[in-house]
Order: sequence, then C-alpha cells, then structure tokens
Amino acid sequence: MIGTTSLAKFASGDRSCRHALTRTAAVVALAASVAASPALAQLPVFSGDPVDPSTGQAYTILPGVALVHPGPDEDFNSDDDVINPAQTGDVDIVVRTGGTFAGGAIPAPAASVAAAPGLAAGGTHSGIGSEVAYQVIVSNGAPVPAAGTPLLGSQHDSRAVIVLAYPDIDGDGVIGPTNADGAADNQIERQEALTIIGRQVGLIESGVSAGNLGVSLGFPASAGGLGVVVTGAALMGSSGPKFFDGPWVGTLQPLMPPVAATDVIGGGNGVRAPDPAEEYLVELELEYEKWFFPAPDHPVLGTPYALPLDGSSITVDLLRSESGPAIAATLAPIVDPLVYVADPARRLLPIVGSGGGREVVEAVSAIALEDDGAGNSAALRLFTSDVLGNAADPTASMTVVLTAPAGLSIVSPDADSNTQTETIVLATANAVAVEMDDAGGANDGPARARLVASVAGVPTSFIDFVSTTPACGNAQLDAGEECDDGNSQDGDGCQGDCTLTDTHDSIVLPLKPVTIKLRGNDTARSKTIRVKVRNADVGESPGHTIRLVADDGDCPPGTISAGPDFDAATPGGQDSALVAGGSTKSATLVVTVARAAFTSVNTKTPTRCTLALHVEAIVAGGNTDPTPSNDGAPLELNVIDQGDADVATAHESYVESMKPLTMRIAAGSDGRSKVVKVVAIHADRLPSAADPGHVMTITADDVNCPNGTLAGIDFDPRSNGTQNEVTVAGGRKARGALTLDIDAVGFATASKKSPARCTATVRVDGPGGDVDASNDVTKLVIDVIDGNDY
Amino acid sequence: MRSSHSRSKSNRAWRMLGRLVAGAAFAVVGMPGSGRAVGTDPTLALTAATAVSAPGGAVSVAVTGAFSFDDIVQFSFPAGVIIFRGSSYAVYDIAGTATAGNAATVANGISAGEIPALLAAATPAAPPAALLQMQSDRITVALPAGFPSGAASVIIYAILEGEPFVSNTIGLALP
Repeated sequence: MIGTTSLAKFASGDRSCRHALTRTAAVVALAASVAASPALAQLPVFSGDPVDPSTGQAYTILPGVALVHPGPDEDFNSDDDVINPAQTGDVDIVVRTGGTFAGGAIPAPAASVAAAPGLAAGGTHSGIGSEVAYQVIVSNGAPVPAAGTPLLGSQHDSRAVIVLAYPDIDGDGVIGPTNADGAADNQIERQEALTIIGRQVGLIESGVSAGNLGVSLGFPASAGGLGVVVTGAALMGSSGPKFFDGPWVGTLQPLMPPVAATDVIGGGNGVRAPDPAEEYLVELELEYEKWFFPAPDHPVLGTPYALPLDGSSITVDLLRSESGPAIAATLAPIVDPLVYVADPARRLLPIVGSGGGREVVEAVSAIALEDDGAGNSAALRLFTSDVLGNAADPTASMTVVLTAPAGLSIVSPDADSNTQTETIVLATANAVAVEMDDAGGANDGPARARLVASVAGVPTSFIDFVSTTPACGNAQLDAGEECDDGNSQDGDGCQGDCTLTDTHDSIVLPLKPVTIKLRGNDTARSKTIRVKVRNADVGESPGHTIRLVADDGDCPPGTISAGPDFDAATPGGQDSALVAGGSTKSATLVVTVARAAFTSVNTKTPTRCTLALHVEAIVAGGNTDPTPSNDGAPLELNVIDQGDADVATAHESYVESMKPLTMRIAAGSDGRSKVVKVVAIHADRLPSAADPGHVMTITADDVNCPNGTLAGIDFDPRSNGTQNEVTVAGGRKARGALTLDIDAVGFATASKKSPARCTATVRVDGPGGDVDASNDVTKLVIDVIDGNDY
Repeated sequence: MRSSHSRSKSNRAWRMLGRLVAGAAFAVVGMPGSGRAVGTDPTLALTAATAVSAPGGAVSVAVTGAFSFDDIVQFSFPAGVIIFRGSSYAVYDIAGTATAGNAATVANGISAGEIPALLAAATPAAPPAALLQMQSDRITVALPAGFPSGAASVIIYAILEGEPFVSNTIGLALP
C-alpha cells in the first residue's frame, strides 16, 4: 500500500485560464511577498501560540485540543510522543460554507445538516452534480467571539490552503469515533475520518481563500441527505514563494494528520526540467501512516477529534450532500461493525435500510463465502443507486432481477421458491435485505460464483462470492471460533458451528442395591424403584429438561419393565422432566424379575445383575455436561429365587452389595478417611454347612477412583496389618473393614449439588468351583463433595 | 502505470490542470496495481475488466483501476472508457454519453494519438449502452446491443491540455 495520500496540488500558470486566474494573482502576490515575508513567529495567525523551543516555530495545535507532538522522531505513535494538556490550540483558520462571509464577524456555522448548504453529489464539472462555495478565513484566535476576529491583511497571502470534506457515513451526527453511541461501531466511525469525499486547494488572499467544493458521496434526499463536515488546513511558512518552511494551521480535524508539503516544482519529480520561474506546485499530503488518531475517551485528551454536525465545532462547517437520480440497482454486503477494520483503502456507503434507518455497506465486487452448506450466509443489501454508486431515490419503481448460478443460493427473499432467481421491486430508496449462501454441502461448490442484479435486462451490479474452505471444522482454532474439534457434530462439546456446546449439569443420585425375592410359585415379581435426578445448575430458572435413561445392563432383557416415568398422572412413560436449578425430581422405574431368567444357588444366596441408569440434559443444539462422572449410576439387583432347588455347591462365596457412599470434604481439608463395612458370605449349606468352612480372599479395586482410594481391607482387626483373608463356615458371613482414603486432590467437584463420582469394586474369591460368579463382586459408588472446589 | 504523452507548453492552464489530476493519483491508494502517476500525468491504470451478462442477453462490463476520480468531481476534462472488439468500439464518456463506431485500426489496439479521431467518428450507441456507475475504483457500463462477443479489450482515456492519454489495455471475454 502506498502510505501517502496526496490530496491536491496547486500550480500557477496561464493567466487566461479561469481556474488559474485567482491562483496566478496569488502567485504574483506571492512573488512580491518573498522578500517582505514576515518572520514566522510574527505572523498574526500565530499570535499567542506556544512555540517549540527546539525550532523556534509555533507548534501545530488543533483548536481546543491539547498539544500533541510527535517528538524528536517526528513520528506519532512512538515512545517520544508528547501530549501536553496544559497547552491548548486556539482558532487559527475557520471554514465556512455557502460563501456568506463578506468581512466583519465570522458567521456561525450551520447548526444542523438540514440547515447547511446543499449540493448534489458528483460536482459541477462531471455534469452530474453541483458545488457549494466555501471560504477559509484566517482568524486571530481571540476567545471572543468564538471563532475569533478575521485577519484580513496581506500577511498570510499566498499560503496554500487545502479544504477537506468528511462524510457522516453512519448518520450518528459525528465524524469519527465516539463512545457516546457505544464502542461497537467505532471502526465504522473511524472510517469516516479516513474518507475524504471532496477536496479543493487555493491560496489565501487578504485573509481568505475562497472556492467551490464538490463531493462524491451522497445520500437520498428523501432521507435528508448526507451530513458532511468541511475542514481546512494551511501551510504557514515564512519563505516564499511556496511557504513550505513553517508549521501548518488547521481547523479541527477528525484526526491529527501530519500535513507535509512536498516541492514538486519542475523536475522535482524527475519528469521535466525545472521551471520555477513560471510554475509552482504545492502538494499537500496527509500521511496516514503517521497519523495521531487516539481511541475515544483517551485518558488525557478525551475525544477531541470527533466532529459533531450540530454547529458546535466552531472552526468547521457543514454541507448536505444529496445523491442523484437512481439509474441502477446495486448489491453490496452489509458491514458488520464488530469485525470491520477501518482503512483508507476501504470504501463504505451509507444506505437506507429496509425500515428506513441508516445502514452501512461496503463497496466491493467480491466477498468470501464459506463452502460449508447451510449456515454462515452472507448478508447483502440491494438498493437503487445513482451513477456514482450512491444510494439514491428512484424516479419510478425499479424492477430488479437477481440471478445466481448453481452452487450459489438466494436464501431470501424467496418469493418464487427458486434459489437461483428472484425478482425484487424497489419503489423507494429503502434497501432490500438479500441473504446468500452456498448451495449443497461442504466443500462441493465452485471456487467463484457470481450474483448479478439486472434492471430491464441490463446487469447493473454483481457480487462475486469466492468460496473458502470452512475454517470451522479444520481442527484448528481460528479467529472467531470458540472451539474446533474437526467435525460438524453438535452436542459433542463443540458445535458444528464451532461454538461451545451449551453446558448444563444434570446428575442421577446414586442408588441403593435392591433385593427381590421370588417366593413360592411366583413366576415373576416386580418392584417399583424411585430414582432421583437433579439439576445441578444452581439458580437456573426455569431449569432444563432432564431425561432419565434406564438400561437393563447385564440383567436379562426386559428386567426394566416400565419407566422411567416422572409423571404417573400422565398416561405413558414420561422419561423427561423440567427440573429447576438445584432441585431434584423423582422418577419411578419398575423392575420385574422373571423366575425363568434367574437361578439362585440357594434360598439364601442371591444371583446378581446390574442395571445402568444415566441422565442427559435435553437442550436444543446439544449439551455438554461439565461433570459426566455423576451422570450415571449402577443399580445392583440381587435376586433370590426361593423356588429354586438348593444346589449342592462346590464352594459358593459372595459379597454383599454395598450401598453408595457420599464423602464430604470440608474446605481447607486435604481429604478424609472412612471405614465401611464389607460382608463376605460363605454360602455352602448343602449337603451340610461346611465346617470349618473355607478361606475367602477379599480384594478391593479402585477401578476409576483415584489410586489408593480403597486403602485396604481388614477382616481381622486384632492382628497387625490388614488381613484380607478370612475363613468362614458354611452359611456364615464375615464382616471386614474397608478403609477409604479420599484425597481432595483426586476429586474435582463442580458444586455441592454436583459431586465428583467414582466407582470401585470389592471382590471375594473362595476356593475353586464357585457356582455363581455374578455375586462375587459389588460396586461401590463414591460421591465426593469437596468444599475446596467451589 | 505511466501513460504515453507529449506535452505542449503553449497552454499553461491545462498544464496546471494536469498537475491537479496528477495529485489525485495519490488519492487512490491501496489498490493493487494502481499506478502512482508522477508529474503531470493523469492516473489511468486498469487492473481488471469483467463482463457480466443478464438472462436477456445484455452485457455489462466493469473495469477496475484508478481513474483520477476525485479530480473528476472537482475539475472538468474529457475522460472515459473504450471497449473494443475487432473493428468495433464503444465509448463511454464520464459525462454519461455512450457512443460507438467502427474503425479498422482498432483491431490492432488503441494508441493515445488515435483517441480524438475515434471520439469524433463515434455516433450515439444503440441501447442499452450507458454509463451505469462511476466510482473511485470501478466504472460499469452497458454494451450496446449487437456488440460483437468474444475476446475484447478495454482502455480508459483522458484528454488534458488537448492531449490524449490512455491507460494500459486489459483483455476480457464478452459473452
């Protein structure tokens, strides 16, 4: 990018040219003034202005703004910048539009855009617009009246003046960024300060530089036209004929641009031989690379560069620019203020939204569109435009036909149920929203597809959609993504659109083991079990829906014969319920054990199976549970079929099912220990109870609990150490102690309503020949609520 | 992009205007391939040309580049777009006039010196020929009915001090 923007040049030349006449006269005066030029600091415009001691020249300070100086390196935005609020600029020059100044007091600027001089965008010379007269008046900066008193002498003659026009693109009544309307649109507002829609040059004669100004940007008259602020700047050197050797003075500007003068006289540009006797050029540059453009609400400066369009900024004046008659329909993407980044090379257009309010689009011919199937569409606006591309009032209804090729889809409007065409009638300046998307699925579209808007069969505008590989789904975290897990699956923690899956915490409370006995001639027996679920999102209102899912697990199919049911009053099983944050709800579950499906070793010994229950939050778009460990719980089912004939066992040993356990760790504690009972049973009763019985070994396995949670089993507390072997007579049981060592480090608790859960096992092994292995193991569910974690 | 020129020193007024236009060259920044004219040349640099057709068969052409747009607003000078294919050519003046003509010399390209004659020989173009849009970096025009399809070329021109300047030539395919 070329970093320098030259805004205009001025030259003297042929006295017969009307354009050149005033300038020629100025240059004549200029030539006369070289010798008589007053010393720089003595120019009346600098009266009272602070002087840079290093140069002896007055500082360039914008009116009403604290001194900002680039420091020795002459570049803003470096460490040696100087901001001195003790020195504030006074009024040096004033711009007035309308040409009403005729000596005497400087008139007040227009108090509103509506009251400002109006013009048609395009300028007089293009044949499509008009101009407005302006005057740049040198002022003595006296505090009263507000704009000072004109300095109409000849001391400032021949100094070059540049006049610049800035548009109020977003219609907020201010040029440049301000937080008064929020910070979200500051980049669009910043673009206003980088968008010069009209510029003119001239020389000062008797304290005034007069001229006419045209602008290129306009807005429909029906919407009040476009507010434009006109500013000015002038080089105030002391050495003619060009006077480049001094600081510049200016009206308030929407930013602090280092205005530099470049001598391009004659061969200065290497093109032609020097010709200084006949021709002088002044090139005034705004070096955007070196601007000083603080963000709004600067801690020292505040927001001095935002120019209001209400007449309160005394050194500048206003214009009202109206667009010409509509001759075309234009497509342009709507600007997202949250992602827009201001740049001098970008061009924004104000348009009238479908509801009549101001909207901002960007004048581009191509935009990126993700080839990702439905979603991530592009938002465009279709509006009537004048020959300069400005949103414009149509002289009659304009019928526009949009056409899109295969691979591109006109999502809306869609009055014809055809995503490749759409006919739209534009009867006013109000734009129509057009939503475009790629057709088909991901990565199946053309590299480039063009949407064309035609009026009366003539294409007047088009937008090329350049296909991009969806960044979302590439397993890399790109800008704007909350996550990217490399797939398009919703509900897996990262949604298909690379936003995090909603997080809701649901738990199923642990369940005590259940024993069902089949008696006599029972062919089956049922038992209703109450299962509690909890919404652990404390404070969530009205809560979220929790579904309870019950699975037969390793029990015979059909063991769960009904339910889960949260609402007995409603026919059918209601397996889901809305549960308020922090609350629990119960569901019933009917377990039916069929005699044919279970076989007990004897009337005292259960056979065992385990049902599995778990909960899930029902949330549109899926859900991620932050504590999945407590989403599930086993339910041990012990079935004793008393109708089964006792088996003469070889060696039957089993362990009683253990109840779930909840351990609470106080905040500040490292953990805690607990001893729980373990019961091992020797079930050999036939043909006679074994005596003295057999040895059983009882072992504990942490399974998914932290290592060492099950610290040891001791079936003989009178002996040193832990004794996990015990000899038990037939039909008898032995009670041992299982020590649990709960280390706070090993458990992360989301809240006191949502414990960390793990499941360990305890197993008993006897001599070989165990008839029923199902009851050799029991699951121990451990819930830990660690007060250190929440 | 420099354009060809030869300069008369007899008309200082136009020379001044030329410098004004040259100043505007720098106003078009950040455009890939934009010519940064120096000295007294106008900015006439094309970077791309795109032909677009409507279902009814009408064809429009959008040319992008740098056009001294800001000077067009402030100052007056002849400038425009010429699209040519074979011996046919269509001219779109920035003032909005669309003309067309035939000249055998066009088949070999258009030089700056040929501009005055081509403009003089052109007659009002058939509908829907029109200047549709003129922005700082893009000019869009509608071709006259019957303009030949196929490989075509486009230039932009300006006349300063009575002296014609032309941009680089860009090729495009007309449907």
